Amino acid sequence: MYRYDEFDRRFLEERVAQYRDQVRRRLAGQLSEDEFRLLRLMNGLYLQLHAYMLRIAIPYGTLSPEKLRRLARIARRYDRGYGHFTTRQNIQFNWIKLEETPDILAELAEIEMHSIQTSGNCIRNTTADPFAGVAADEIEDPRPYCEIIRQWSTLHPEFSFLPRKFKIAVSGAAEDRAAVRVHDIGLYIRRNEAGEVGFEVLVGGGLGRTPIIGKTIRPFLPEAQLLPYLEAILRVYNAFGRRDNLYKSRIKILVQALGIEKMRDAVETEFAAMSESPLTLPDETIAAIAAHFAPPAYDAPAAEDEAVLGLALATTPALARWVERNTAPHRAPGHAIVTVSLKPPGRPPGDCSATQMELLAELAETYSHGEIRVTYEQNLVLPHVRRSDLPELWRRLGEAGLATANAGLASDIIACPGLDYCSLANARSIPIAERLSRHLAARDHEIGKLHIKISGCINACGHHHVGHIGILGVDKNGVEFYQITVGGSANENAALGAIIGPAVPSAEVTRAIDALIEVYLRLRRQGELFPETCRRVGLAPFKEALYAPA
Amino acid sequence: MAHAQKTSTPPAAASPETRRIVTGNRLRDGVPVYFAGDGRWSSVVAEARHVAAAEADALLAEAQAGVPPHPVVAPYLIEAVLRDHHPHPLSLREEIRAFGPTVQAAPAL
Repeated sequence: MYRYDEFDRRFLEERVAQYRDQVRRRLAGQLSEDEFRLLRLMNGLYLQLHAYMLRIAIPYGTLSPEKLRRLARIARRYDRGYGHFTTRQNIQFNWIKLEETPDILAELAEIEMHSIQTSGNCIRNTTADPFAGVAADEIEDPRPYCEIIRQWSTLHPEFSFLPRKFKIAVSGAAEDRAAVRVHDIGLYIRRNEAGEVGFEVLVGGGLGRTPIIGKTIRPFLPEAQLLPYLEAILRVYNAFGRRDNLYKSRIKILVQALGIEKMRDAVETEFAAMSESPLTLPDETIAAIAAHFAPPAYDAPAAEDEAVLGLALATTPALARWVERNTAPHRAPGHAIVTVSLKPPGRPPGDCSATQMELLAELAETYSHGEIRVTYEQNLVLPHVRRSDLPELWRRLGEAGLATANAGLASDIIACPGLDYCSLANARSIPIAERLSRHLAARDHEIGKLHIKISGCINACGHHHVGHIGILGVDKNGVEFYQITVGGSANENAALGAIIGPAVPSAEVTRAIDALIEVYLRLRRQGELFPETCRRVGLAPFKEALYAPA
Repeated sequence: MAHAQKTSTPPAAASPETRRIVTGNRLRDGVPVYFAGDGRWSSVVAEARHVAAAEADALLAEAQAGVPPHPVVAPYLIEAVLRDHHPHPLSLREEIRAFGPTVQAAPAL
């Protein structure tokens, strides 16, 4: 993991001191809310329905035990004993007091974390594949590039007042686990015919009011040119992105208006003018950053490991289900990537108590070379687990309610905070997720892989547009209704779901989802996922089942 | 569950009897508070001073008055109905602000 140097540390200390003074002046009445609002948002502090909310960035979704323990301490000391992992590899605390925020930021700075650029019209925390560096299907580790982007984009003077917020995602694997195609800029690490590393660059993806799948602007960009090319895109956006209409200000609208060819021409012209850019990355710089992400020293698997694990799996069906669902192939022999589900049936997706965080920190030290990852799907990952340790890890996780065997299944639901917390929401998300996960959990393994995503408003923090089944809360004359989409996907074959028909009342959502699932189970072919069935059979059978008279 | 009031029923529609109250979030900790009159703010919505629509602007002006630092961020008017003679927010959003969240606010473990 990248460690701060003296400059980074001093900068954060100064920033905290600056913020402490801003809070003091606000509480003393020397700053109005209008004056203070931008300052607090620049430090990730929102004012929500019940309290202030602090959003903290988790760069490339990677946490050390020290960091996770500090987040647990913050949860316990300054919040209500828990935190909420978001859909963008951040953590949010929902019950924060303004007067305590300088102390919280000071606590974060001590462990090299902050909440800068988790709000506002700037470049936000870069999303990374949570299996980075360990996935068996990986071409190249995306984390060094995320770190390079982090260093370049943090307080970038030219891009601190963009037309709107800006999100970048990087994946280095065959399977896209970072929703790359629905980011403002998406980067897929590729190798060219000569075996050189570079990027396929996508631009103009996004969700929200106008969901759009990103388009390829450069099929192959040499890795040394990463920052000049990103800078060229940002410059074009900064110059031509709309500032007169909040709803048309994202880069996706600019790309849509210009068309990808004209956008490409504009970016390439800007890029050509920067051919001698000091941002061109020398090999040694990339290597120096990459050295921070060197793999740990894995123990070679013992000859009897698989036999011991096999026996445990054969005699403990619940363990076998968890291993099947919640582990993924690791590049190191004898190891597995473990997804720790934060989606127990009937509970708010992504919430994690301080006690659970502390346990996970300990388990990461014992079983995962001291590393924890955060997924945009609101789960955690222990990336370096020896397969022979899986039974004991499963047992320990189970004692803390963290061994739900549902990764990627129907009850592994993404949901935004919705109207229970968020001042922008029109309808509640969490109670819908709780009801659905409680209802679907018993059928998870029969249904198989199914991604249900719920947003409480059109801003789409719950990524509903790219859910296999998407659920969007809407307000109809003061009453919560839910609009349902089907056939979306967030992976390398990203697709936007189609609205299936009129929104349904809250009490009807479970029945409606059941009806859609029944159609899928009836019509799916061997190995076919929900969006594939939708594409093959069309909307009609789903619509018919959903709106059939009871 | 922190929520003390069910919100599953549709909210009452505004009517001539609908009252107006002033709310905002307390500056120091963000807690929703309600203007109770005489410069006082309460975290209990039932204690809010309520007026008819015609008097709402005057109530808001009174709530906004005072020298900085004002204890409440951006006070605003909301609609309320009287239940047992006490104001109760009309909209679901304000009902959740006053009594929510409607989900358990912390993991069980």
